[in-house]
Formats: sequence, C-alpha cells, structure tokens
Amino acid sequence: MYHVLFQPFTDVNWSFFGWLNEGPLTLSFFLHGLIVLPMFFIYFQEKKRLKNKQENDGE
Amino acid sequence: MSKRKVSVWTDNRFWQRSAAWVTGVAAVLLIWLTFDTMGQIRMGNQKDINAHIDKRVPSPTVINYKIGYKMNAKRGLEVPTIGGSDANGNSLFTIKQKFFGRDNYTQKEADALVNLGKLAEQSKNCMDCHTLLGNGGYYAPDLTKAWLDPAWGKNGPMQAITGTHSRAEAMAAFLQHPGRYPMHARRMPNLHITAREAKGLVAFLKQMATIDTNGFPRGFGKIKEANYAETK
Repeated sequence: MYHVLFQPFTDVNWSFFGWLNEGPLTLSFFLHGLIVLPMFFIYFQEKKRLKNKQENDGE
Repeated sequence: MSKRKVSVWTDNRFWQRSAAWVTGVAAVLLIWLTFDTMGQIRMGNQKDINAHIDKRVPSPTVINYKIGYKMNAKRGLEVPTIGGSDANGNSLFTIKQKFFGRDNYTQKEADALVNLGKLAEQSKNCMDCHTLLGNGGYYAPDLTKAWLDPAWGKNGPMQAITGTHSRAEAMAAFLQHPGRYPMHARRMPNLHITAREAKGLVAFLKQMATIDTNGFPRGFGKIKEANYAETK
C-alpha cells in the first residue's frame, strides 16, 4: 500500500497535525512555509525601511 | 551623492523581528500541540465500548474483555483489539474474559482498580527499571504490552510455575513474590507488593496493553502466541 503517494487518514483519532502528516513532506512544507515565508516579508519590509532611511539621511 | 547598498543582513531590526516571529510561532504551535495531545489521550469510558468506538486510551472497563493485538487492514499496522476482532483486525467489543473471576466490573470499580495500579506503579517506582509507554529504564522488560506477553499465557511457563490458572493470577502471584519465580537473568527485587496492589497493577497493565500506540512496538504481534487471546 506504500506505493500510494497520499494515503487516507487512518489514525484512531482525527487531528490536524496527523492529517498534515499523511502526505509526503506535507507537514514539513506547512511548518517551513509558516515560519520561513513571513521572514521574506520581514526582509523586504526592512530593506524598504533602510532604503527610505538612507534617502532621508542623504537629504 | 553616491548611494551605498543597504544591508538587511547586518541590520539588527531584521534579526530581532525574525527571532520574535520564529519564537512566537513555535510557542503557538507548542500550545496548540499540547491541547491536541490532551484531546488524543483523553480516556474513554464504557459508553464508548458499548457504542463500539475506538479510543486511543480505552476505558478501564476493558479489563472485562479479551485483549488481542492484530494487524489492522485499514491502518496498516498492529493495533490492540478489545473483545475479539474481525478479519480486518477491528475490535468487536463482545468477547469477555474473566479478570480475577469476574467480567462485570462497573465503571467505578474498574476506574478505582486501575487508579490503584497506577498509584502502586508510581510508589514502587517500576520505571526505575521498566519502560512504560516509552518512559523509564531499559534494565527490565518493557511493560507497555506486558499483558500480551505469551509467557503469562496458557502455553507459557508462568501459570505452571506460579500454580495459577489465569494470566491475571499468574502476574499477580509473580508481582507479590518475584524472588520465588526467577524468570529472567536480572532478578526482580521483592517490593512487598500486597495482593490488593498486585490486582490493581495487573488491571493497570491490562488497560495499558489496550492503548493504541500507533503500532509500537513494531512486530510485537508476530511473536509466537502473542495473540493468545484470540485463540484460547
């Protein structure tokens, strides 16, 4: 049965994390997405802030 | 005026905000997982057994039923079965088994018995040597599925050695006088367990064997006669 990429949820009690863990790397993608993607947003926001600051300092 | 390239990587604020985000998300996830786990391990009751509902931690009243350990076709792993099992390894919740001569323990009686066993297990510090559900020492045998150990079964040596006629009585006799029945190179010390405590401990071990551990220990059911309860 392990040739199936996504398997039906069969755990005794349903749980969100158990469900996420059914597919290959799905739990990993979820957690990395949740943690890393917003850091891109923080990066570009800080970059913009630093650029604005540099322009203001230059005036 | 020449424009210098801004460096986010050397900016403190970027790292502060990133650290705050990662710490915050991790804290929320841990709190979420705590409540998720609490829901998963909440103990069932007799109503669940009557309604044929599988619980990860079933009611203490499972001591009234036959316990087995079968490969479950749907789950793809071995799971404890309560009161017999069908061809797919699902519990039937019907076949009873006498526990110290009775198979009609009420919810209150079974709760008290298992609780007594838990208190005895804690006060005698079984985990000093044994492992229970992954916690404890590795000096003595793992007790997670001890109830299903074929050594205590009809064809195992322990009933004959202790002069008893059931799995529960054999376990209780051994617990009260471990020095009399050397069954392992590492001898269990006499912990002065009383008959009442021994009964509670055996109930505690029987209920623990029915806890769904997601197939751990793997391959346990393939041990010869481990599924004694399903046959005799």
